[in-house]
Amino acid sequence: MRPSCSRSVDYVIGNKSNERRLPHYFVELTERHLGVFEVLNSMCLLDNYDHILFFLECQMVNTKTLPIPPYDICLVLLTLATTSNYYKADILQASDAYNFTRQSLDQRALKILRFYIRILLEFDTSKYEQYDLEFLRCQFFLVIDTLSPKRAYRNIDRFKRRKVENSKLIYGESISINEDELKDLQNPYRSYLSSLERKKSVLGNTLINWKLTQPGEFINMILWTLSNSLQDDPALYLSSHDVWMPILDIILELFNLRQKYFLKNEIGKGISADLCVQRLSESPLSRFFQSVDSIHFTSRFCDYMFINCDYSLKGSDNSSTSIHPVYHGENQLSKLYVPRTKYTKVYKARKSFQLRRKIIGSCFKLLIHVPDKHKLISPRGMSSNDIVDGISRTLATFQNIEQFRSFFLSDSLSQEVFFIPLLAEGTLAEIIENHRQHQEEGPKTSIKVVKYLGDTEQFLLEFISLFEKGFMVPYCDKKITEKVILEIKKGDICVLVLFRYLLHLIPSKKLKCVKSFNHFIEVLKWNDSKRLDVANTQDSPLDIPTLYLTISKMLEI
Amino acid sequence: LRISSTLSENNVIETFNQYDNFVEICPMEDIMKFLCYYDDDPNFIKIFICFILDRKVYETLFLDSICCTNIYQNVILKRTPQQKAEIGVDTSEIIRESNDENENNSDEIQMNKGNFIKIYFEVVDRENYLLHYRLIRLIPELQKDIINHLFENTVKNGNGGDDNIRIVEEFNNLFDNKQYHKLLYYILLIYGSDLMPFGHNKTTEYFKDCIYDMTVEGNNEVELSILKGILNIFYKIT
Repeated sequence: MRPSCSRSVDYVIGNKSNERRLPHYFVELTERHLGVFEVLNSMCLLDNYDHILFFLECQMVNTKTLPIPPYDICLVLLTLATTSNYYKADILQASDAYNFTRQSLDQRALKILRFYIRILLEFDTSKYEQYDLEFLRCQFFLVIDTLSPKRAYRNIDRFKRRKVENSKLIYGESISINEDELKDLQNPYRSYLSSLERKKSVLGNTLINWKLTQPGEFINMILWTLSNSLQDDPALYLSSHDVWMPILDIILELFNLRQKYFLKNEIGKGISADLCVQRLSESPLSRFFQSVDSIHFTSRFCDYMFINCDYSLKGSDNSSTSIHPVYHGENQLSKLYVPRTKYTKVYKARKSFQLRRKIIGSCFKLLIHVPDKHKLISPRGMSSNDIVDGISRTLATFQNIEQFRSFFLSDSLSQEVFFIPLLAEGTLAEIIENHRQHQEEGPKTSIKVVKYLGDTEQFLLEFISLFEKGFMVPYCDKKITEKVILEIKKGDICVLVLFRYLLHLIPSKKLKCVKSFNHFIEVLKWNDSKRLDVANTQDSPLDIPTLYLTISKMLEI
Repeated sequence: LRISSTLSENNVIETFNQYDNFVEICPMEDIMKFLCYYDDDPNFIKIFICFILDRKVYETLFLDSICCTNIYQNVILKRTPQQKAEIGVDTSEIIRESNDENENNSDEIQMNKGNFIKIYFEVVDRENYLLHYRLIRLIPELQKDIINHLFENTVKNGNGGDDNIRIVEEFNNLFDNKQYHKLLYYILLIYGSDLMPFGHNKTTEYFKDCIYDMTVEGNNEVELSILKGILNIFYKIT
């Protein structure tokens, strides 16, 4: 079997020697890598970031020997990535006077980091030596372990929500750093002197590990990123788009890799369910999510994941979240900076929800491994069903169809198959419930289609029974308003998402041979005609959406 | 409307540092997706080259070697009519598919590669080392082909078979003519290839000596001091 990032453990020694309390993935340093470490280290101490980047960049060209940056340089690179041009143009220009590569330091740092993450994800031993890959993994895992929030404790004031149009946010001031609380990172290598013992900041920004391990700073960073990812203000949007979205993306990739490694190698085989739960509660992703909230996880999580989105949930808690810039000055454009790129609303929504989905996906990645009838000890009260319900309830109240669509517009179906269909199903049930609650009594419609994704016949039968009752057909006595149309569109999107996944799993040729396929198409057309009938009788000026045309295109009829 | 109508036949990038700074543009990711939608257009490669080498495009965060190499390997090298606009949508799946097919169409890939290099040199001037360097930063695997192409003609003129001599000759040529800007990107282009390895070697030492001598004589062009710095870094790579 091909080695992967979680499977390859030929060179790790952390599990063998107990005296030094090394992490499991620990790989010892060799003379060749020590050379690279020291070169980079000395450049770093001289604040010569251009040369650090260049040293790594010029070896990204076709070389079989991969230069591996030590964990402390990785942290410096991550911090360097936060010093974006838009708010630090002056200091960047001063420290990078003749820039022959014609790119700013922060973007070069991000590109290098992405390059290494890519190598870790591929873990291709035909391209690079296995030792090098395991050693590289060790450096990045050291980074991610120092970044994980150590305390679940969070001390952020909860304000009463101010009635401001479209904004539930209060921009507070950043908490000043208490020097005493900074603990030095333990250097696991005896032959290497880390530069971080003498270095505290990069171009005026405190090192990212110190910043993010402050109480409340990690979750603040996530909220800052998510809430600004839909901002109109150029400085706030750039802070998210140019700095924190890419960094958070890298951090999430690393957490997911780290979690896989943990599950494969560290949790232990054949352990009891109780012990498994206990170990899972200490796993990397658990620590990541503890930063959200360790006690009332589900409701807080749903609030946070849809921060600054356009929705109105009844009975949500009446407080707003205080966030502040991660680094000083991030909310203001530098005088030397001219914003050129025009980000459209659609683009913003797509990028923003891509990231939100990724975090939600990581949450399900953690929960999938919790044994049945057990719950994690910390974060408490976390269960897949509750989270599906919570997220579905929120999504069902979305007021902006573009945002709603962006959430479900998954760009890699196979990687999100384990949770997106569940959310589509849950949201569909909520929307149907909201749609009929004004009119009829009776038990809540239950929709169970996801479990039939493997059984196409049953899947179609479920939809047939749903459509036969009239699916999202507006009531005759209720005027068709924009809001009604919005609800119909949302319901349709959920149906389409479920079909997209069905088609992802079986080819449309096969689907057309299924027994009830023709029946399904008839019912679908009938449902469309019912919708049109109501619209016609009301003489509505608004176009009512129909489903058959889209589905027939998807199925290539 | 096809893009081809906007690009005339003999469009050559010459004014690469004179693009308008104040025009508003869309996010690069969107432009790239749009561009790749037209991958069956006869001028696609030309447009792709012009696009990625534009300074403002090159500067953006989105454009990196991962994305460009992906398009190069999976679209340009396997240009067949049925290949369409999948870039960026689900790259991992394209790559997985591409691995299986690789062996069958190696001839076609070679042909496409030759074609790409040919078109590249139609668009970019042979001695424009800055753009060559930019290209290999985006598609590292092209370094070898670019260098081969640059020195191919001199091989035919017959100066022995030693490529290393030609590398030094070009260095001397640029150095003596005081074309330091070109020299800088020339050096950046050739290092890391099979012909010019990193680390200690005689050629690097020779380059370094030339540049040190020049600065001792009081010539302190900014490119020369940068070159000193980078040659020192190349020394340290082992």
